[in-house]
Amino acid sequence: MTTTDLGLTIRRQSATPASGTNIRRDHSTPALEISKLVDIDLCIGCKACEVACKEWNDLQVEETHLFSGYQSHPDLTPHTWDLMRFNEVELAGGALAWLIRKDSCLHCEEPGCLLACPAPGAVIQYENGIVDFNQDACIGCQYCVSGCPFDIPRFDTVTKKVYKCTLCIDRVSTGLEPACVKACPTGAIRFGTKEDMLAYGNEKVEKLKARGFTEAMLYDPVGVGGLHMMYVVPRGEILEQYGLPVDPTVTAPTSFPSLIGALRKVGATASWAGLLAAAVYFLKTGKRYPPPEEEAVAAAYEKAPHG
Amino acid sequence: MVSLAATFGRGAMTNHWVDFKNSDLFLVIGANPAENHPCGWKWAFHARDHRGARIIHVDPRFTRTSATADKWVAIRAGTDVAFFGGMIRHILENQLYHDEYVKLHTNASFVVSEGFSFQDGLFSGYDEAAREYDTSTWEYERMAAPAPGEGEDAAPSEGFAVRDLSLQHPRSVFQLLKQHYARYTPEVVEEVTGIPADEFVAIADEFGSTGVPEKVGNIVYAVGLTHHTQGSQMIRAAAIVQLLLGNMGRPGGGMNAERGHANIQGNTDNAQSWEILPGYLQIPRPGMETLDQYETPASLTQMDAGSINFFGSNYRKFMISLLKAWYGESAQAANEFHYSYIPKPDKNWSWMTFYAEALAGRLHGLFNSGMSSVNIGPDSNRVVQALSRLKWLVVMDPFPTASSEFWHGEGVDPASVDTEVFFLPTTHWIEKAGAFVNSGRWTQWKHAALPAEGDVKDDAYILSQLLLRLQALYQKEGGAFPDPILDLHWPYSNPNNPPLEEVSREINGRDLTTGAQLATFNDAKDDGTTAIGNWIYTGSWTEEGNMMDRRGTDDPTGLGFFHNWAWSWPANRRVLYNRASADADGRPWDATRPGIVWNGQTWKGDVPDFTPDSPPSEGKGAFIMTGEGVARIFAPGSLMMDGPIPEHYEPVESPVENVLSPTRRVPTTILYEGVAASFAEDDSEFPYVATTYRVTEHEHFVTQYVPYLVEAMPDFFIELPRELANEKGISDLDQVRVSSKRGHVQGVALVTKRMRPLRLGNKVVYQVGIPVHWHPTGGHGKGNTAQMVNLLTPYVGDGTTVTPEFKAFLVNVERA
Amino acid sequence: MAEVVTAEELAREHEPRLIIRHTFWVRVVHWWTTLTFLYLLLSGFALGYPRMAWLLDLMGGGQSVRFVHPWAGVGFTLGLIFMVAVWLPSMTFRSVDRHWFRNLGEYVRTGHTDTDTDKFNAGQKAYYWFSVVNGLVLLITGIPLWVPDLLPREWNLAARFSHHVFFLMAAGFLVVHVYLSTARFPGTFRSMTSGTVSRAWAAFHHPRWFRRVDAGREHEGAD
Repeated sequence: MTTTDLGLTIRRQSATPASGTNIRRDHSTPALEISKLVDIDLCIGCKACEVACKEWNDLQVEETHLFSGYQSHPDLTPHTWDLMRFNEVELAGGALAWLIRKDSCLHCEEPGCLLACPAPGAVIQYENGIVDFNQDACIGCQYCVSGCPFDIPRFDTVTKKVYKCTLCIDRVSTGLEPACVKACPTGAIRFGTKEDMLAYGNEKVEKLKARGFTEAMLYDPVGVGGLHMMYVVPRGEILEQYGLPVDPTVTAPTSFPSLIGALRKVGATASWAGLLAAAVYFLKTGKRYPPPEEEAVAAAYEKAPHG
Repeated sequence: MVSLAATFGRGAMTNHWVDFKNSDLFLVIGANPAENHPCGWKWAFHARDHRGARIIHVDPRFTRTSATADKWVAIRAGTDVAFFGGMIRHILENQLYHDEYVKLHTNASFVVSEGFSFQDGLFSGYDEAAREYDTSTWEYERMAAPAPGEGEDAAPSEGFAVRDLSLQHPRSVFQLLKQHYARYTPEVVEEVTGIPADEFVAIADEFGSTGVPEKVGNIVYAVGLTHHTQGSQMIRAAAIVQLLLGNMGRPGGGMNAERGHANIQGNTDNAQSWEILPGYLQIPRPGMETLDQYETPASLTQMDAGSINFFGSNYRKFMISLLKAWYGESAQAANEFHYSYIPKPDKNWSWMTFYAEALAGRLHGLFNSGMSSVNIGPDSNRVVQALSRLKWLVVMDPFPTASSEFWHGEGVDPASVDTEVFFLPTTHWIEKAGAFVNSGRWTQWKHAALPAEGDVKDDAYILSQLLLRLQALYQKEGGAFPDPILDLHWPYSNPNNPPLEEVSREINGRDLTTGAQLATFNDAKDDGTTAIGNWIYTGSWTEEGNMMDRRGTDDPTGLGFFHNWAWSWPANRRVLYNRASADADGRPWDATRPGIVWNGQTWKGDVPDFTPDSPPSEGKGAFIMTGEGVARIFAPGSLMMDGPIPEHYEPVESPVENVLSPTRRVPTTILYEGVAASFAEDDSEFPYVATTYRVTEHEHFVTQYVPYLVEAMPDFFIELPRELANEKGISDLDQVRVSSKRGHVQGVALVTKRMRPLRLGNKVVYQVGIPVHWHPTGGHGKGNTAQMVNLLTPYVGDGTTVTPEFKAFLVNVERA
Repeated sequence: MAEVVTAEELAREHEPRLIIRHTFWVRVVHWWTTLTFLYLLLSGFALGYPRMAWLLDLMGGGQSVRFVHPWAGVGFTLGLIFMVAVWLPSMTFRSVDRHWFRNLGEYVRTGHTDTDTDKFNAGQKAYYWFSVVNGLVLLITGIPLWVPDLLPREWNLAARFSHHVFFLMAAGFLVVHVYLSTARFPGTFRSMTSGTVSRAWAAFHHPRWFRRVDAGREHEGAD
């Protein structure tokens, strides 16, 4: 495998116009896209991925305390990029479901974080779809946090930088699977080309439907251009209970990146137009000097109200 | 394990993890495989994804397994015999059993002797004072010798069991079974277990549907069945279900005991229990002075013409080969290969007995190796008292344990403890090579992952030093009966710290004439020319090398046998009793899932658990380890101490009376001195059923030393049903105090929908769950809230095996 | 220490007939807001426009800008508060301002109306009030961008959008303000440097104010 095959050239970077760097691949052929897929049906919530993530990335141990059920941390943190979320749900009819979801960066095709980031090169998207943060360039504004429809990036108050799952770009770039995939004991976390993962996911959804999960779905929302970490969700009818937004949007005309993009265009145009107009006006009308002092003073006194 | 041996001949998971992919239906009970055996459990998911299998989970708690199962029902802890009894009844009443299989491969057709009876919850022969059965009536009716002149050419049949293949004889095992379980109606099951009758019938119907040749059901269990006063009978009851449905010996079927930790199966195989020698040879009893006296009752006599009786006919060879391995040159025919050196214990010396003996001042010293008495044993307060009465205690462990630190633990005054405690830090298994035997009997060699840290020693070094220094002392000073120690054979290249590779070769065994490693236990000799450390492992390290280190992934049958991956005892067989996967003519019950098939010359497929060239026409029985040649629905003689047919009794602490008989508790449990007063007699003071368990984030007690895992599951907690919490005014995360008649613990309340109240008749019973992993010396996870659940558990064990009751006892819960 | 010779005195030494329009402290306040505003404007462009991100480097790097921008906003707001305190009476709309607005077209074409303008004309007052209100809005919408944990994500996005809109408005009016006070009307800029204007300038642009000052009814430079 060559590096080009792993899709490791940069597709785009935050706040950097024309930031793509790929000259290796023939542009007429699509880049190799990779994806993780979490098959929630196979996930037992063992947290092996959570621990493997911390170990591989050398993330520091945090003191935790039981706060609700089996979940280890209330939320992702700068030191915990992968968190198993647990939710006990009573279904219609009284049956119980224990929804367990691996929460970590979904590596959107249209990353809200990247689009929101004002720091050149702080968010990088590779040809293969991995979205990574470059903390060197991060300015700590946390616009990515607001920009992310999945609430993934976390700000560290000590370094004043933002952190999240890198999809183990360091492993992927040497041909290895991400640490969470390697650690998963049941094969619930899969890794491969986006094409293969879609095929697996669609087939699995059909199997789930046959098992009675009529609303089973492959979670790969178009509103963010698709994901590079998809979910097979057995109970699609209660997506929010898994903690997944039903319709995350980054690309819609009414979404923030579109609006702010439009506003930037208006702003830039108006700014240049305004400056230009001022210049033209000046050239046309020039300076307006006051009349000679006596004349001006006389005129001023003429305006004085009489009586 | 004892119950599986009593039923099938060997005490081990009958199939293996990969084989789960061949199952159509899983009944998971007394187990939480998603949580505790996640790596193996993926194969159940594989079966569901690839062959549409379903998973039913029966458990007191809704666990991670329930979350991923197709169906979950809550059962009251400790009532599994009633559950399976109801299933047996349902299967028999509705003719769901696999008739041909039952006749061919089980002892359903065997006729039981006239003296056998069952009344009021007691089998014939009970001695109330001794709390023991005289099992002499639990026997088959035997054939008499043929009259002279009659049937001269007939095969010898004297002493064989009488059979009635029509299954109609009123004393046939089949009819006895029907009669015994007639009481276990769905309504009774509901009243005992708390499973609503209609839900129970639905499950019984569904699992019963595997009683046809083209479907295979799999019963998966673990210590949720084992850790009860009637644990071995629960397993027996489940095994009977599997035999009736014809699910034994078949790919995708089986009684699959999930073993804990990485190497518990290897532990059992190599005589971790007091009553066995390596390879499940019995420990001799008093009176068995000679090998002949030992062999005759201990081994199994042939009881049917069809019985190969492999174990019975080879017992002597295995025993003598073992003695040769232990005593080397000095073991000779003239001295009976030093058989006399083997201890002949006069009573049950289960490890619970140790502490009772220590408490009574009759036991003076104890080694803990890979074991921590205080937190692994039940009723920790009692164990601490017992340890306080010792003269010395040696703890060999990579980390300090609750036992090495017991003398200054909570509530213990060091000044009052005279025990001298030695802590010998050892290497961890990560730091050394060796073999792990997984649940499915795959013996897999592993390599050291890390160099040993600090001033630690291998267990092998410590044990060798013990031996060598004792030998030196005996040589110098003499002493009483030094021979077994002085004659012990220690033939290692480094006697001070034997390489485990050499120990493994010794376990495999060799031919002492040629010096060659043995390839199969069929080469074992009874003349002292073979030495075998553990006959069931023969074949694991042959002249071809270390078979356990193989990593071949070829699977020609596609059934997941993987014969070139590591090595599986016995003889690299992957599915035990696989002859039962075929009918009388050697044709597989299901052609898509053949275990072994007779091809006209030989049995093909898996390594046959059978004589490879014995044609079906010879009519040999599929269960070569039993004298009957078939599997035992009825366990005759003293195979089980508490009954030949499983019967429901209440746990020693139970909120209700026994609905099924006036005999409330298992009649044969050992009542150690002074323990009877430590049991709650009813639910007046301690109204809630407690059960203990493990969570996936931790491995027993040791991972409290792993910071990332403590982070993943930080605090000791008590799982409470919402309804109980409301009743007691307890909110989620409140500190609660849980007390039993023996002790109390305090922890964080985890109020959950996953624990549900049960309705037993007119009574509502709450169950609470308490995980085991925390202990006060627990490294990163220690602290005030790191408490040991075994402070609560009762000091009582199984009626046959004396395995402690960890899974059902009574407690009270209050806000702290 | 000798008495300081002020900018106004120096200017009048050179041209004795100058009138003082803005005193020292008024000029300080004005330039305080000017500088903070310029910083906010440029750093705002740097943060808001990827093609202007190079400005970040000129301003000490993105991390510095991220740190300084909110504090500059606070500084700017303080300036606004002083401006309100100092100019509130002069900036109050009067009936005469109606005349100016009616003649806005003429003002744009010729740079003059015959309104009897006081110290500030209606356009200046409008700009003043726009700056105050706009400044407050920028402050309020800036807080969630400064401390993103305060509000939910959607609110932060809305705040960021609004901040951008008001920033553009401020930038646009600034161009007008600077153009008028430098290029368009000679003699104006000095009122914010030395603080003085010529009598002709005062009489022409602010006749009513001029008459009061000329008659000595009002102290020069008073607001």
